[in-house]
Amino acid sequence: MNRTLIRAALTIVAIGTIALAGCAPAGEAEHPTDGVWGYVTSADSAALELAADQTGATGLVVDRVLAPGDAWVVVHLDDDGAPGMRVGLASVAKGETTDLRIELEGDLTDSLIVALHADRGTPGEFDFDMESPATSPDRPYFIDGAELATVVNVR
Amino acid sequence: METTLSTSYLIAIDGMHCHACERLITGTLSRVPGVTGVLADAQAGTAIITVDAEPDPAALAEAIAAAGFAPTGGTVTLVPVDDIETPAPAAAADDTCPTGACPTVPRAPDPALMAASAAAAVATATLGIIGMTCSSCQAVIERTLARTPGIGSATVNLAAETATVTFDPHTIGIDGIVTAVRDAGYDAVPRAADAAMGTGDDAQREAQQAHITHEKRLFVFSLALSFPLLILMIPALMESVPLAVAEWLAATFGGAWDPMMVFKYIGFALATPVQFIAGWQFYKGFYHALKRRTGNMDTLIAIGTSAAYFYSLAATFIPSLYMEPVFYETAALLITFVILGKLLEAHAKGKTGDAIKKLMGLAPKTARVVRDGVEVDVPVETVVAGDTVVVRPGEKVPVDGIVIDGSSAVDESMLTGESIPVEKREGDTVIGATINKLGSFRFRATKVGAETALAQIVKLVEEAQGSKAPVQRFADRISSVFVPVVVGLAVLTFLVWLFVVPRFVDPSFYMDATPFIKALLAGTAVVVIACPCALGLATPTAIMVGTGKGAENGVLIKSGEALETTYKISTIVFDKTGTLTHGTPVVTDIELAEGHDTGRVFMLAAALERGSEHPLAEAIMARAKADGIELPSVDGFAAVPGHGVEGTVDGMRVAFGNRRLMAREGIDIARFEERIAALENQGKTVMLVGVNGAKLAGLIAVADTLKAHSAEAVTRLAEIGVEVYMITGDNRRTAEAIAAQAGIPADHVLAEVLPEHKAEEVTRLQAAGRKVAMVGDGINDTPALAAADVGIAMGAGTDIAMETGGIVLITNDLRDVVTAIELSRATIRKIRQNFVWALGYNTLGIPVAALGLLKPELAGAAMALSSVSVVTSSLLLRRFRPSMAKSA
Repeated sequence: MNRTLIRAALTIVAIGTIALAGCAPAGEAEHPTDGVWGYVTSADSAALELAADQTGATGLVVDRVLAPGDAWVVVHLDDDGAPGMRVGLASVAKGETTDLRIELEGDLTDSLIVALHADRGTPGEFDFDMESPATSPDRPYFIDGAELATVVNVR
Repeated sequence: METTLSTSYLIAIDGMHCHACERLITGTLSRVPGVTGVLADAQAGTAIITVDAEPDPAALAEAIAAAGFAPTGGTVTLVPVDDIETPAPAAAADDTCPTGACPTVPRAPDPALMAASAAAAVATATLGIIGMTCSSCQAVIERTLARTPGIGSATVNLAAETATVTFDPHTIGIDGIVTAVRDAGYDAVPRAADAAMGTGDDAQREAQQAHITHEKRLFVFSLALSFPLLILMIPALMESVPLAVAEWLAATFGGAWDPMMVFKYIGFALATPVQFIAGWQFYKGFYHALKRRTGNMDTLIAIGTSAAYFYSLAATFIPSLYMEPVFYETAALLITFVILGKLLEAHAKGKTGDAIKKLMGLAPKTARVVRDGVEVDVPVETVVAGDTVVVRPGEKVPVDGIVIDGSSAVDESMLTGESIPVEKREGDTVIGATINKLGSFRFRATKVGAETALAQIVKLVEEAQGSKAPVQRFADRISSVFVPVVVGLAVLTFLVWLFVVPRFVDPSFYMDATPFIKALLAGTAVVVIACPCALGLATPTAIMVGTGKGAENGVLIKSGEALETTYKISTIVFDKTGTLTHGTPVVTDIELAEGHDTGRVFMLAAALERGSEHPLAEAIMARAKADGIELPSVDGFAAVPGHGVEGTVDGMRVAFGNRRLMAREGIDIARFEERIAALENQGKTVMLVGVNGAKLAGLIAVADTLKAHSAEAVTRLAEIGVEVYMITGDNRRTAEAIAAQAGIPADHVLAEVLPEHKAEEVTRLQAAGRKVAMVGDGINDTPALAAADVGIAMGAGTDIAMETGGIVLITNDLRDVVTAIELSRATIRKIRQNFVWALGYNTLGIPVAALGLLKPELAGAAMALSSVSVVTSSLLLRRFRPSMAKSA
């Protein structure tokens, strides 16, 4: 490429940069979410395996949990397909855990949602605020843009 | 104490430790041809050589090497030393070498060394300065140099990027001055003596070019990193890019990644190299300024970018600040824009010196000289005074000289602005770099190298461009307080946004930001927008373009001060003889009695005047010669004091003189009385020719005539509001006659003023509250030129009276006086416009930034643009055209 072209390209980039700088959102950026508001991981690092029907039980059994770090297995009521109030919680260490039993509390819906959350706040404390989930340290893991969670029928 | 005035050069030499070293250097250098004196100083690491011919750097380098030393930097750089005063020798110096490493040299009486040992000298050197960004940098260097022992004064020019330093070479050497500049955080290179002709190794140009290349690389580097940062700020990409990167990281390295943190890490990874590689120069400048308890542009950029960067860094790596936003793109873009601004400014500033580069480029590279009877082409540097130089049609005249054979027309427009080629004959002066037209001629070189008119003009213009105009003091004063005031304003802005605004303003005003973030951004924007870079460029760039433009038009303005004062001129006093008039009487009228013809009357008069050196006789002889009149011999010649001359020509008794001579000869002139009176009223001297003691053959009127464009120039001066006076020693009638031709009213004629009283007349006009310019030929008018607010010296070809007056006109054309005034007015107007540009950005930008309405990175771009707009505004001066073009 000759010098004139390089100069022209640089000039366009420079002007574009100034223009973009002027058009960029004022103040700071919103936090990136794009539907993913937890920790991004891969199927090789995180997994949640359990039977889909566990009717009549007072607790759930998770056959296998693979966690990229110390984590929580959280059981929510099913609030029209979205995770509702928490009814069960168990901590797991980084790596694989099998046959994990989680006791359930309170009134249950027909199905429950089991999700894997990171334990990145105070260790051993579940730091997750349902009111501001995106800013809580113990947010769930996401794989391929979807929360790592499974629906289990309990009734 | 007796002193001698010499032409000298200073050379920086490495490795001298003691007086033994000095003696070695002195011994070898003094044997170099042309060197008449050596003053070596081990402490300063310098040697001052006095020469009677152009010094040969190669021979000097050999001599230094022969003594076992080396010139600083590997090559000999000759720094001209002005006004070196060498008093009589005093006490002998200590010979003990502190290192013990120096050779023992037998003590021998050496006059040069004896003078050197105790001489108190003052030298002036010009250094090229690299790395200045604003007028605060200029102030930092000036202050640093002024505090350095051995340095008397230092003037730094931001636009020309030079420092002119007066120093005592016994206390400090060039290398010491360079070190002082480097300690201040900048770089300096000595300017070679022959750089003015563009033939020398111009270290400054090379260093500046290298600096610009480095800045260009930094710009591309920081743009390459900042641009992705900016792209990341586009809302759609702000989410998807960190997510994609987080997914890639999870798939590649395993584990879990928080997209928000990935976003911050990307910002950190891209902005950190920009902050500490591209932005390192600002930290360096900040540190050096801080060391000297001062501030400059670097201070403001370093503070602004650091605020944004380190806050972001904390928000990235301190878990409790997890939710805080980052501003990496602000810091990186700010640095990118500032570097871009500096590059654009350097590019534009380079053009302000175009005129001088054009002048330097005029010098031809080779000359055809006659050596041993053969014409040979040689490099122009090897031409010596006395060489016979051959110039063929279309060729450039290589050096200054006097035509000895042949004739031609020479285009001198490049130096004089005069577009019509000037006829050159035997005995005429030719100027180097002018272009020969159709004829061929040979000339004897009289001035070569740094002595040629072109080299002198280049030197003079460079000096003017390096000087400061009084108006710059305004900029300097503002700049000196600007940085602390701006930092104070930024802190105030920060505090008001943090503590005051939240109490009184609806939170919706912040949009999504917290008071702290808003305060941080507003404070940063204030720091950045307020940088006074453009202010420092307002005056020097305009003066560089203005003086360069003057040189292109044959008007040499010797300093910024002269340029500024010329702007205020309300009255111009012209010397009559040689300024308004040609200064040489010529025959203007010939009136004949019945039966006589011009040739015969002239033949009679000229024959009598042949031996006379009287100015009037010269006019008659010049006319006779021009008309090709053969002059017969004269018998019985007699000069009659106060009357004229008489003698016998071709057997006729001829009397040539005034009325009294005619009366004495009994010749009746009644028929011509009316005509004689009319001519005398026109300021002409009338001489009568009487033949055979009875008849008047005719009369010849001689006068010093008005130059072709004098009247035109006087009219134009009146039009532009300048009152014109004429001053002369002539009688009032003659003076008024010439003044009337020039268009000067009789009450503005200062007649019968002796040369020594001309200055008093100028002072009298000044006392009436006028700003007076005196225009003279620079010799007998010197006191008046000095007394005037601006002295305008008329030059004449190579014989330019450079030392006199603030302005030198290369030609004797009075239209150049008009050009000088118009140019100074245009330049000062431009300086004022530049101040508006520079201060406009600051004064408008600061409130906008303080109100939180300006993003810091845009403030950076605006600041960079302010410098560019000021320099571009100065460059518009290049379009200046004199109203009295010399094309006709």
